[in-house]
Amino acid sequence: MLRVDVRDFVGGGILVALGLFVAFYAEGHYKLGTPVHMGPGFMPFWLGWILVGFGVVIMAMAVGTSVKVHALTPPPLNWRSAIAITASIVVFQQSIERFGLVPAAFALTIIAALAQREFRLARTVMLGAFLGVFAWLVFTVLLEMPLPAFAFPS
Amino acid sequence: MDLLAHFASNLSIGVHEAVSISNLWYCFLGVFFGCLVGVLPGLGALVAISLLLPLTYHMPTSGALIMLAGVYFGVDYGGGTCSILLGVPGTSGSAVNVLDGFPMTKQGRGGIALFIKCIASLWGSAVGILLLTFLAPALANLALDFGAAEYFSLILLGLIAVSTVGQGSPIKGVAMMVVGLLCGVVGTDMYTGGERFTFGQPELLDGLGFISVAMGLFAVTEVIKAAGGETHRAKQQSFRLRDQLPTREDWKRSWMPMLRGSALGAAFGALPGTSSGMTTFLAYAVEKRVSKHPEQFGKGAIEGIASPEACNNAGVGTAFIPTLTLGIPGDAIMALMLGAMIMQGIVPGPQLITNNPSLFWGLIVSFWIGNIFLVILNIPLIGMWVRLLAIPYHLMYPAIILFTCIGVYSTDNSTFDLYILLAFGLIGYFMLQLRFEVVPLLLGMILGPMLEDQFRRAMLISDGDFAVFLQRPISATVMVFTVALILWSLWAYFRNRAKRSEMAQAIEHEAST
Repeated sequence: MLRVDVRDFVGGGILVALGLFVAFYAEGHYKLGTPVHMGPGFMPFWLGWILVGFGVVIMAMAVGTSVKVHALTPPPLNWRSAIAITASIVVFQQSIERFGLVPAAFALTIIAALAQREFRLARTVMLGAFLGVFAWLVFTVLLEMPLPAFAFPS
Repeated sequence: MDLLAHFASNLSIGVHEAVSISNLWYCFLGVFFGCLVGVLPGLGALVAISLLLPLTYHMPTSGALIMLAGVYFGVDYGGGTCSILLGVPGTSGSAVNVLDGFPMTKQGRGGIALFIKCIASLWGSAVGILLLTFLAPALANLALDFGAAEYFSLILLGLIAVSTVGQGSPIKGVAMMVVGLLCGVVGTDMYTGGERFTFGQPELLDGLGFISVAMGLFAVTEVIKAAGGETHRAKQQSFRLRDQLPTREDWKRSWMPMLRGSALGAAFGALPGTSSGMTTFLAYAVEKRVSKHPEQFGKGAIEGIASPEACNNAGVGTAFIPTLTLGIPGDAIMALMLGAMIMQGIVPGPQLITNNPSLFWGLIVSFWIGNIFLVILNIPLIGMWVRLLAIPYHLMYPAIILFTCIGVYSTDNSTFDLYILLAFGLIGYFMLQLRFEVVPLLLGMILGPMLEDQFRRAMLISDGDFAVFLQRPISATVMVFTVALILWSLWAYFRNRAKRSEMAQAIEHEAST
């Protein structure tokens, strides 16, 4: 019976796709040159193909008849956490220049806290306020970085 | 006598550099922060160092390196505290302390465990620093004859070593390394000045930015992994100095393990590709094998703490040897240090010691100072760390993300860098899901430009002849080593696939690195 280890198969597939993309892009856009006179495309082109090779090997190893045993156990896939952290960074990125450090820090904290299963509003708001002020004290005041505490959208 | 005078003058340069107010302060900051991060479970040296990297951008070079090195030492001291008191690994290098340290805490002997851990760490550090002091200049001298072919082979060896000697499949590790090399390609080609893979984004002309990538792969990935999980709390015990003093029996049983552990750690620390997680387990296994009372291991045998702690601290000192003499980092932490050095404009390689004597010797002296700080922080002031362990993780991780974002943004005042941070945070998380390791990618990215540079140089000199790597004796030897390493790791991996290490089962928590 043919068993496919999905994670390895997908992983290998991604590598193949990435390698192909890099190799073809390098060949199409940059001069390859010769070993003596290497153009900018030489390294990425060959590295891309090497990556394709690895990807194929990994995909091949993912398919077989024996049960696969692995040394690395992946952590449980936590979508909530990934989305919350992603959103918090995006919010920070959009706010830091428009609204300043304190609001950006506050927003980041509230949204990042959504990654937890038990979200407690009052406690999180306090933490957000605290971190906002703390960050301002450490980075703007103590380390004298050009990070205004509050900015006003122009 | 001449040698002694030479050494004395170097030491005085070092003392002069290290004992300045600012460098003492950076040293203290580093060890304090390192200890702090080490004590908190789940955060390791990688997260700590990558959090501080943006700060080093604005600091003088020696201060930056002193601080980062202090963090490295501090994490090794602090991680043991967490493992012993909480039964949860503080860092991967101190995970093994859970096996005998936590039982000792349950027996009420936690204070003694912490004390011995501290002394063992101090001893290990001393051994590592002494070896660094004497071996590094000698090795640098030897390396002055190295040409492009030798460097290429050595960098390749270092990359392969780190990529294959991990828990997962060596094939996937090397594949990640190649991805890392490709990440290093992004930016401006140093030989022709043309852009590569920038897709029209001017911010990418200087490359992806190793700070953003490092913080994404380590700090952000780690937080995504851990957020929303359970938190651990330490039993609040009081540790008066009197409670901590070990008995004569304890000392008698500890000193030989400390010697053995530090020897093992020093040897492996200098080799690229070895991680402290691995060597500390090895030290533990050796002690158990050598002991007259192996049945006590796992129930509170003090040897089980003394040896691994000496081991991982000795490894810190010797890990600097290849980094400072050849410019080749042996693991991700050294790669970050190397990155910080490159950012400051320091050219790593054998001329580093002769061109920047105040940097090298200043570092050495500050290592000693840092370890003294750590002993003070960890013995009399241990109560502070115990209280810290009571902070729940869900209060901490927003702070980590916040500082990460501020750090990345502030290096260039660029919101684009935050995109890179996020991208690599997600990439790192999904890599973990697909059972790929993250460290080889970072190493590939940092060493990629160097590797390509040496390759092109070697090709220019040899006129396109690939055989040059095997014709020159040193390069050939290194290449043979590399191939042997690849073959060995493949063999070992396939052999171990069915077996599970009994040590890894004793500790379930998975720490990164």
